[in-house]
Amino acid sequence: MKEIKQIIKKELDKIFKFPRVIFSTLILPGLLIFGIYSFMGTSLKGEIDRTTVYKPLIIIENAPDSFLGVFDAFSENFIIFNPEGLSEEQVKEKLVKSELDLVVTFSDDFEDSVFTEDSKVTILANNGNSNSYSAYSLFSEILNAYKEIELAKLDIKTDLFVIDLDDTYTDEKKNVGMVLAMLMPMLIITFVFAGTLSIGADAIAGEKERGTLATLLMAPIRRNSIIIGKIISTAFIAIVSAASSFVGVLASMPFAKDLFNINASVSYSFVDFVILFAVLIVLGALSSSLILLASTFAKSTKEAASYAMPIYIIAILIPTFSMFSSGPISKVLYTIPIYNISLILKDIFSFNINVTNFLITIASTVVFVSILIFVLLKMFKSEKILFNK
Amino acid sequence: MKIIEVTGIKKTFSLSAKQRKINQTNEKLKVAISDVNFYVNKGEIFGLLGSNGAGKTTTLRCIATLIKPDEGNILIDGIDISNDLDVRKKIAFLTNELKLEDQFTPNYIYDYFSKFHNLNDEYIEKRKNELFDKFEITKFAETKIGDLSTGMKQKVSIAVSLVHDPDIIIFDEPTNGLDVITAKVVTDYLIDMKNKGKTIIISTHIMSLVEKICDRIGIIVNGKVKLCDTIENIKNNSSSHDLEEVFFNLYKEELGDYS
Repeated sequence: MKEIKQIIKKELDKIFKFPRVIFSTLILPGLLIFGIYSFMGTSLKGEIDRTTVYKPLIIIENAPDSFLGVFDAFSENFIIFNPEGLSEEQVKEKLVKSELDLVVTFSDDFEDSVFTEDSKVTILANNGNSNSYSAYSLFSEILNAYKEIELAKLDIKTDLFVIDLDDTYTDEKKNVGMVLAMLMPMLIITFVFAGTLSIGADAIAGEKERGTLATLLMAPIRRNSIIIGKIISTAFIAIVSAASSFVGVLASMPFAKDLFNINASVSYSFVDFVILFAVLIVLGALSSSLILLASTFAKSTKEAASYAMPIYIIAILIPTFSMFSSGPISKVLYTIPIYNISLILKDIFSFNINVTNFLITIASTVVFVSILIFVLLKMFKSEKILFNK
Repeated sequence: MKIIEVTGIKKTFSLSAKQRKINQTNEKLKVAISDVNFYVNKGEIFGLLGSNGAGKTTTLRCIATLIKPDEGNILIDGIDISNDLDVRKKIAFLTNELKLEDQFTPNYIYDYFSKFHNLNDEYIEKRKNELFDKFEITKFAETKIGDLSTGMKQKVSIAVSLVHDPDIIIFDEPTNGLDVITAKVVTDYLIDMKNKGKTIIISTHIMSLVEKICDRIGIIVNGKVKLCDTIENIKNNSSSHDLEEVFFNLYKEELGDYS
């Protein structure tokens, strides 16, 4: 135990004794995440605001009086452009150059030819221009409203039935929880694996490459202690690094509400946090065992990173399968490594935690990690693997 | 009294495709050492002589428990090397291949490795002062290993390996890559250790060093110990009285040439 503590202490000192390493390993990921999400959120909000404020420039030709009556109510959302003196080609050119957003032309004798093939509204739009696209969407809605009014005048019922949605029963807490449950499993698993990858690839392969592992092997300590110490320290650093990224996400929330589609606050209980902490520990142990396996097998840090990268990619892809799963989930799925963690994280954030599922997840992950540690110990006793240069 | 007994050890390495290409061979296995037999008496300096690739380092690595021989036995002060933890408490193994981590200071590294020997803090500190003074490490004790010269790093490695004051010191190429001054510090220290009753085994191909400090030597050719005796006996039993010539003649006899 004393040996393991010594190994852990030195591995942590490699990070915590050097401000530059603390910054690059623990602070920078959080800052980057904060920066990226804040920028994306602010940009998205800006785009939404801009689209809301912007008044598209449109041409309406040959509109019947009945339509103008309906359009009047929405006219303040548009600026009507007068095309007098411009040829058809010049108008199209303006549309292409985004100097004009929409051209709406009603066919001749529109009102008289309703219900015949001759009644037609031609719309010219530029889909490459977001303003033109929004103008088209809004104008389509006005045309639909106009259509319904005209049908009503003819005494034709437009809806087969009325849908009356009463959403006063919505549990706001669960609603926000559902959004977080979609988002958090992938973020947490990605952050933990990214944190492990940044230090785990070097943990053994780097020491082999630099010749420091042989020095350690000559000390009167068991090789098992070296492996266990490395796993614990790598998992710890990965979790702290993931926490930093997580703080980055939380800090960016005020700027990224539109990005995450979260418009209410939500709080989790102490028990939820305890369960989350337990899940994080087994996730850290799992990710560090997997990455250290690649690191032990490799001859250099570069080689270890190339072995670890597919593991990382698979690990961050797995939560996407659980993201969209719905309905009752078989208990067997809670035994599949990483997928089970993704499911249980989803349960935690959506307030649907089930103790049996939680215990199955922890137990199956512990069994899987034990198998990985057993393989690692076997590898660590192989001269061919340890001294392969 | 024999303190190290090496009996019939053999070690085979598998060659990777890259290594086979470099060595221009199709053989997947390479016998590094075979039927190696010798012993080292307590309190003597034993020199293992041989050309590059003869099997000196492999033999020392087996004695130091870093690798396991495929066949044969090695006893260190009566303890079989399969009890590797017990053996490592009795020995210090030094080779240029063993490196220290660049980002830490000699002080940190010394304290770190000393904790593995279950020694009390007072002893560790006293021993550190002794070794740091002896190898003049004190003045750069707080400098990162990565910023030190090769000689300084070697001194720190020696100090770290000797923290537990072992009875047996195994030194692979002790003066290799060192400047003249540092090489003398190391050589003097080995003689000093011998005078204090420690047993030392070194591998080298520097004849002057062997003649200066070794009591007995073993000459290893192509993975086998071909000659093992005191320097005096070897010279007396040979037509030549020059150790270097004895060495070359033995190689010529065994291999036909010096390659």
